[in-house]
Amino acid sequence: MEVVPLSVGVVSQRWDDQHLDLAAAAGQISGAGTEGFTSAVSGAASRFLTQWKRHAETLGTDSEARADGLRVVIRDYVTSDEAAGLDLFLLSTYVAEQR
Amino acid sequence: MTTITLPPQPCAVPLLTCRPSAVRECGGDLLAASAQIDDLGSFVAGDARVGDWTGRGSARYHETIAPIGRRADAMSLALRSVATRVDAHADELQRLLDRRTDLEERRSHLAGEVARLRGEITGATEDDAAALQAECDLVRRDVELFDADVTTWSSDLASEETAMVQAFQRVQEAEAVERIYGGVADPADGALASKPGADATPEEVNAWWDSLTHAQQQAIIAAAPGAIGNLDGIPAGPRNAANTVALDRDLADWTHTESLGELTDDERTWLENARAADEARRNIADRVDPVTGEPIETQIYLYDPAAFDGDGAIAISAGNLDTADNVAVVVPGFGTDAESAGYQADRAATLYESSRYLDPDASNASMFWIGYDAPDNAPWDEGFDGAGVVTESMATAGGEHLADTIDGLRASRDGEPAHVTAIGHSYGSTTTGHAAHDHGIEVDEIVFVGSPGVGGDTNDAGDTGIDPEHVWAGANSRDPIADLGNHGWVHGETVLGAGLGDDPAEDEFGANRFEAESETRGGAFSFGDHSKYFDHDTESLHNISQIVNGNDDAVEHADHVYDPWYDGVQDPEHDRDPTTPATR
Amino acid sequence: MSGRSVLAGWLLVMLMVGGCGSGGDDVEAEPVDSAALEQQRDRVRAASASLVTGVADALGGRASQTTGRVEGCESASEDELRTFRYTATGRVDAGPGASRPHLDALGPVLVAAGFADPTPGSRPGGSTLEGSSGDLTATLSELPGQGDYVLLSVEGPCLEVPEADRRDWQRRTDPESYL
Repeated sequence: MEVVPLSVGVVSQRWDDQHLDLAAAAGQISGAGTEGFTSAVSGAASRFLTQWKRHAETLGTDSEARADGLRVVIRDYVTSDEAAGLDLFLLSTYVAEQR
Repeated sequence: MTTITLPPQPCAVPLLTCRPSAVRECGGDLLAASAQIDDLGSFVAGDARVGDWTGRGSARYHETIAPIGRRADAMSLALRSVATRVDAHADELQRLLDRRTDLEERRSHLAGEVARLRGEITGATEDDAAALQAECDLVRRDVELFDADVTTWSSDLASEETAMVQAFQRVQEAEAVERIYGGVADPADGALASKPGADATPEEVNAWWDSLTHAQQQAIIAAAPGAIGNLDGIPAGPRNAANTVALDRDLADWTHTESLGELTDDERTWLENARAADEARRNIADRVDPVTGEPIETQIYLYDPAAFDGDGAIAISAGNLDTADNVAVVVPGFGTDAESAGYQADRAATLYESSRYLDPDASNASMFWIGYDAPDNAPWDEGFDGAGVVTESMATAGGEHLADTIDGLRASRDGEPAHVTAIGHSYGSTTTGHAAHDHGIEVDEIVFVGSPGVGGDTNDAGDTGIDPEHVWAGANSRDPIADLGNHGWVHGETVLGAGLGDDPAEDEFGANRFEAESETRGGAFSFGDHSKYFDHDTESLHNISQIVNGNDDAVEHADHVYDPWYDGVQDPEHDRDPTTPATR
Repeated sequence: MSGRSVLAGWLLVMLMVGGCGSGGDDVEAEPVDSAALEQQRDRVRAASASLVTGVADALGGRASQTTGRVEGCESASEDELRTFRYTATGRVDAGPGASRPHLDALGPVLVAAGFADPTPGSRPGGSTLEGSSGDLTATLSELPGQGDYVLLSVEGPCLEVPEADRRDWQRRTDPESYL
């Protein structure tokens, strides 16, 4: 089995951070007010914000999926018979999502 | 019978219901979100790559993340373009509103003219007819011109609305984003590649910034606000734009994480600092310029919520630092950290208001500068024991930061140099003293107020490196902190090598002392009197403002503190009745 | 930390103990309930609305920037204010027919808005007209060198708020127009 270094755990956490940040960005987009626009523009603005909230959420979900994928890799490795080394204990702390 | 043809009534000006400030806020939110998405692209291209992981699993992982990075890059460019367009839309709406106001005034005037002519015709004789007709013809031409201008205005509004709608629709769908922006290089990337290194002077940084195109500058503000937000040599305008993006993004991120109950301890501290910065900018923007009656412009010159182990660094200006005739930098002292920003903003605003009030022909900017690690242990909060660890080391380090900041302000301005005043309050005066003595700051005036000492190596006003005529000291006779500086020949420094330096209000120091008593002063020393120097309608604020404006002749001088060998320290101001000069 | 620095710190302690006496401020006002400031806000806004409308009518002009805010009066420490007042401001750009000095026509407007005894005064670069209504003060000012407009402000007296409420008042924003 291929060795999974500790850095994979660190990167999985960074993907979780991206997920959180993009969820915040999605909230920021949907929270951007359209009340300042004229009536001729506000409809297009609302539609744009609604659509882009989804775009940002999708990017966030994709980021979360990358983090989950790396955690699966880590879990498979630390529970395998071939796993060894000083980093193993530290690596196992990344099996579950945490901040 | 002669017939006189009246001019027609001017046409009505169509209503325009909009709020440019709200539109601008919407653009700001979108720009901050685009920066967040850009971060994902940068992450995928950099830290997301795991260099020490090899094998098939690694290859598969790196293959799957590449499209996410490409999509993030395209989306950030698309969202940035819309955000920039929304900001321009806000500007255009404001122009249209202003034009509409002018049109309304013209219409009102023309309608009055038509009514007047109608009245005059009613009572006119045959002899008046020719002159009245000529006048009617003149007004008719004005009405026709006016009607044409209303048509042009309506057309301009419609064009602008159409352009804005198209900008929203152009990149509404993900497919359109990919088609238009997929694989497009970010203009920020090339520009940042040529950015000078960390050891560059503010002049070199400024030259680099000026060499960029407007599009490159805007791209950096949106994509990498941290690269220029706190960089000396970048003008205050773009620094403010970048720091606004960073602050809005941070508030959104950490507030969201807080709502999930997942904030780390560090993030909680940073969020509190970000909220303090937000409070500070609003505190200034909510107030109005005493000359124009319009909101005071704010600029976030420094924003780093994680600086100094979480104490944070924030500097915000009331007024435009790039263009003001007079620039004041206020350096606060004991007990100050980023969480004090809201209060410090209030102080910057009172100084701005007072300076403008006293000289309406000059433009001003006054900035509070929490740009160094000040002692947290304020005597009034933590008692005398807490104050027992105060040393000059923080002032020495802070002085270097302050000198860099002033160098940056000087280097980033075009045209006439500003009249710059550095104002150190409390321990901030020790920091300002060190900046002046250790680094030779390029300021026109130095003001020490409520000073516990201006640093052990600054023995007289001349040691600041500027003409002593432009070194000023304000000390309320009831302020216990202002009484801490070394006096006379025998003091802590000569006996023990201790103290924060000399009292700048003492005769031997050689600075100009100005009146700084407060009408609400107590009978004895009180910490309250240490904090009144920037309150409105005080001698202190009045005199500091006159100094900031370069009106030295209008400063009310006070007799110095002195320390005769046969007696204790004497303050002639102790028994003078304070005054309340108007500052607003 | 150098030996000199440590000594510097202890000297500060000694001086503080020796120089401060009992400390504290001798001019403390009676603490009031925050409700008094809340009431001041309502009265100032109502008076300002009446005044700015009158000024705009008298000058055939247009009112703008009609907002108010809580402002600190007296500081308590390095990050806190002790007393506050409510201030409302506005600007009226004079209409084409209005003649200068505009303040000459505005005494009756102040009186009609409830501000008695209009008193002329001066400010750097301009002139003022001030009236009072109970504990509220209204000031109209004109700066001929700056433009064809009149500024107005209405404010109440400074009130001390309970210590626990200070930060809230300091953070309070009030962006809506009083008109």
